[in-house]
Amino acid sequence: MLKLQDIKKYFPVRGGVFMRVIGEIKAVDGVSIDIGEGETFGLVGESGSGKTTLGRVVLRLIEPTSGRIFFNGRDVTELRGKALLPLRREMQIVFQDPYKALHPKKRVRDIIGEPLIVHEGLRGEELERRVSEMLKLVGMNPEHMHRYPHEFSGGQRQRIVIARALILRPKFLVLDEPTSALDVSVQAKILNLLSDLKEEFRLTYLLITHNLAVVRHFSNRIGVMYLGKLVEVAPTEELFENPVHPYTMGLISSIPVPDPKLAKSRRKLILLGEIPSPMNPPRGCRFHTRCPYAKEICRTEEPQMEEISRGHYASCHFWRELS
Amino acid sequence: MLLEVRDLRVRFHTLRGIVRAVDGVSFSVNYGEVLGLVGETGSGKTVTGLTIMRLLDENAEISGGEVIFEGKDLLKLPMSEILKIRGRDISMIFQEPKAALNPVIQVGDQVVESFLAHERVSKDEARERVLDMFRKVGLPDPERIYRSYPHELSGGMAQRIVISMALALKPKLMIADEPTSALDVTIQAQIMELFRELIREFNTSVIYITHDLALAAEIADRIAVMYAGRIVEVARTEELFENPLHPYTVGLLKSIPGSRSSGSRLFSMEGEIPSLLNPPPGCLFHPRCPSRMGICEREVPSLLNAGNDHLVSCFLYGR
Repeated sequence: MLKLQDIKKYFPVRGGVFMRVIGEIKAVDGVSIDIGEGETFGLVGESGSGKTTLGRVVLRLIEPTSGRIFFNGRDVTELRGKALLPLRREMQIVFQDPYKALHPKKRVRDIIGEPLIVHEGLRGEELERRVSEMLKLVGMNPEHMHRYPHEFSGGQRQRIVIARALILRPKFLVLDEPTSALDVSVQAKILNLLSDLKEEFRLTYLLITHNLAVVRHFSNRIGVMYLGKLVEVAPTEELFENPVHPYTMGLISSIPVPDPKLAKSRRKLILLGEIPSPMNPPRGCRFHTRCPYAKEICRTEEPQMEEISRGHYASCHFWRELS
Repeated sequence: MLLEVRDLRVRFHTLRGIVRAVDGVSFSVNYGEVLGLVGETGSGKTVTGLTIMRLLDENAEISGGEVIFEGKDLLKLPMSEILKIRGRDISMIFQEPKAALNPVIQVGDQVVESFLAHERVSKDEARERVLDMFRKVGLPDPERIYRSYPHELSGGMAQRIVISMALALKPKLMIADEPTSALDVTIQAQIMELFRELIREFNTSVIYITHDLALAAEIADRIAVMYAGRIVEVARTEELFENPLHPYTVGLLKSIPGSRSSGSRLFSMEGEIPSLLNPPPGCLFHPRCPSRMGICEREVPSLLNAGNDHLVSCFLYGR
């Protein structure tokens, strides 16, 4: 359904008296992903990994520096202006913060209904009927359409955000940290709602998150990003049970486990240092500055993505030794 | 016993009415113990921490209770005494390390100041001790870090500075309020490891405030679970996870995604946290409780020992 081919997104950095371009932030630096219909693909990474930028590029909210985006077999990289509208109907996004994503002075009806006005020219009763139907689907009372966002809790606001994203019946949804601003008991409800809606509307999801527990629960396949690159891609259980990239191993071992006995007994791989600046990424393997297994070759030569087992890819010079 | 909080009550006066943020909270912290104070938004965990430090805003009113620290009730001490205790005997760190640092002063000088405020040492000696502290918290190149300003530091490094400041005077109690929530998970793992080492080395007691039960499991000796301004359950960490008693704790543990449940549905508790402007009568959890009984709507359960030093406030386990 979605195919990304060698996507790059560089942001210019300006400085000095004349605000000239003095460098580039390589936010996304050559990422290729295929997402099948009906799949939930999880993209995990920490701050500065480029996962959010990649999500924006997929939706054509920002232009890639290079690379191609195919949606349902069609190259949509160059679509501009009105030609983009049909794509906007098919692909939508759910943002992290339901407090910021909703216009505080608009009623719920106008927030959810706006795409219907823009794309279908709907008004009046028909509009309200569609909004009311959607509110029911996201588990809210249709009466709530006359209220304002501040009257709702965080979980309910996220339901409103989801309702707006789904009102045009898209096929593809980017979920950008959909539960990061929510409490764990509310998170459970929203994740359950998202899986119900996936069935109901036969949706395909790209889930972007830093939360490994959420991504494990929710995704069929996972891609791990580090400093603008994908370092490992695998089916969910394969990734958690048999990670081969040292960054993935460190990431998994960093997750706190809700089991005090296991927490004390398990061996932890604590990664040293911090993520380097994407303006000046390290030569060779970008992870070598933090990698406990780095050798000379890692400082000079960039590892390529290799297939390790069926559907499991990683870019590490030493995956054979480490797995 | 280092600290004993007894029947603490804190109310906020807001435009919309009175919010009972902390409503009869009691717990204790032993010497050298790490107590995890766990709860979701609005549970009162942060307000409890701020009350102990006497850092509440002006619209807050302490309407009852005692906070006994080494035999003295902190709520009755004059501010001049509190200022001596803060930093020296009790210190606190927050989620946003940079908010705790002055943006226009070199970070080294800021930590030196906290030394000079409480101890009679020369500036040079304080400087040496700060550099020593910076090495202890794992800051690379301490001399350079000493001269940097907060905006030049990453979140992880800023939190290390704040930790070094909080521990510089070897306080007896440290209150840590979500100290790793703003950090990436690999940096969080580093900071947690550092915490564990330092707590052991300095033998500091800690109140570790977090919304994350899994994180509390990694560091706390004992955990108190808060809900809507009250403590619902207290137990040793392993006991709490093996044998959770309060229906809220049980629900919370089941809501955590993870383990091998991919594809299946997550357990989700009915309803949402009640408004503290207009809380329900009786047990505050009863509208969401799968085991509620008639009595739960009328009476407030007290926190009782259900055996094994496992405290729970729920009528399922007696009155």
